[in-house]
Amino acid sequence: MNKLPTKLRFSPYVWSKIVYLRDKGHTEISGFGISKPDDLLLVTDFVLVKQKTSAASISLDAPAIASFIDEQLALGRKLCEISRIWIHTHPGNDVTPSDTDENTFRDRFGGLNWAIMCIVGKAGAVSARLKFNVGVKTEMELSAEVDYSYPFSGSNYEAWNKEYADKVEEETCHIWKGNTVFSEAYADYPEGHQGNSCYNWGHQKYWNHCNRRYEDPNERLQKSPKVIIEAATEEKPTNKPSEFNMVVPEGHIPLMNELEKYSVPEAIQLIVDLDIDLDEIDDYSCYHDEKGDIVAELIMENETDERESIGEHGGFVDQAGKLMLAPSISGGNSWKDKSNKKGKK
Amino acid sequence: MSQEMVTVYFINNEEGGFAGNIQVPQGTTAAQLFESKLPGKNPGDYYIRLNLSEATADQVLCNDDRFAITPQKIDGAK
Repeated sequence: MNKLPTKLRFSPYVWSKIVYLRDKGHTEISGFGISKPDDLLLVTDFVLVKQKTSAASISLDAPAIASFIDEQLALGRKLCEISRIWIHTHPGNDVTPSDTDENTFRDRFGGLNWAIMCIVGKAGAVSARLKFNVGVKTEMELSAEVDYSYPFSGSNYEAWNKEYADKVEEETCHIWKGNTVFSEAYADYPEGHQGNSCYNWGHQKYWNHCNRRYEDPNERLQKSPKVIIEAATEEKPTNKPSEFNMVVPEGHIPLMNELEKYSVPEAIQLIVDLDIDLDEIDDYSCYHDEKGDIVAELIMENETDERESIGEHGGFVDQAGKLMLAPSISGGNSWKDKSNKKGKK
Repeated sequence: MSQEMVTVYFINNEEGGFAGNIQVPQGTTAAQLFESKLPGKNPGDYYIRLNLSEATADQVLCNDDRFAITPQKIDGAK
C-alpha cells in the first residue's frame, strides 16, 4: 500500500539555486520546480518563467508560461515533471499564502491531477501544500527539506545570473506616504533586517500604511481599479509641510526631507530606529546631534495650546525638568510631548 | 465512407498532462477540439495557442498543427 507523501524534497543544487535567485534582487520571484521523473516530489531544478515582479508580487503572463512549457517539452520532459510544483518567494519570513496565491492555486492549478504551491521566505522559512484534484480531492501540508543524499554539482552563477536577467523584470515601485515620495524604490526590509514580529511585512507599521503604486497609472488601473481611485483623489505630493501651518524649529529640517537623501532601505531603517510610524513622518523635524545621529522632534502647529499654557510669552519647566516654551516665543515648540527620537545614520 | 483525419500535436497541461500526436476529424475547429478535451471548461480560463500563436475559436486545424492548452497568467503576492 502506497503511503501518502509527506515531504517535498529539494536537491542541494536546486536549493542553492532557489536561494541564490531569491536573494539576487529586491523582489519576489517565481518559477516551476522540475521534478525527478521517477520521484515527482524530489525537485532537481528550478526554472524561472519570464515575469514581472515587485517587492511583494509576481506575475507570470500566459505566453511566458506557454514558452516555458514548450522549452521544457523540447528537452524531453513530461508535463507532470515541469508544471506541477509552483514555487515563489515571499519577502520576510511569512510563507503563508496570500489571497492572491490561493486564488491562483485554485484557478490555475485546480484542473491538474495534483499540484504543489511552495513558498520560500526571504529569511528561510518554507511552506508547501500538496493538492489532489482527482479522486478524493484533498490538500495536505508537506514538510520541505534538502535531500543531501541526492548527488549534486557545484554552483553555476553565470547561468543563474543570465536566467535572472532574462526572465525577471523588476517593476519600479513608488512608496507614497503623505507628501513623501520615494522614487525608483523597492519596498523591502531595511538592509540587515532579518524580520520579526514587530517589523513583519504584515505589520501595519510597514505595510498597511504604504500605498504601493506602479509608475504607469494606466497599467495600475488594469491591475487594481481601487488603487487608481485613490490616486485620482490624492493631492499632488509636495515636500513642504505647509498645509497645517507647520513651523520647523531653527536648525531643523523636515524629517521627510532628510529621508529623501537616503535609499529606501536606509530610510526605512532610520524610521525603525526612530520608532516613528510611516503616517507620522510629516509630523517630525530633525537635526544631527554632535555624534552625527539624527534626532527627530515633533513639529507642532503654530497655534497656542491652551491646555496648560502659562502665558503667551512665557515658559515653564515640566515634570521632567525640561524647559517648555510657548509657541509665540519658540516659533513652533509645543506643549505636547516632544520627546526626542534618535536614530543612527 | 470514413471521415478523413488530420494529425495534430496536442499539448494539454490540464489533468494528468498530455503532449503528443492526436488524430482529429478534418475540419475540426480550435473550439471543437477544446470542448472535446476539456468539456464544460471555459476557454477563457486558458491560454490556447495554435502553432505558437493565440488561437481563435473558429480556426480550422490542419495536418501537423501544434495546438496547446496552457494556463492563463499566474499571479502571486504577499
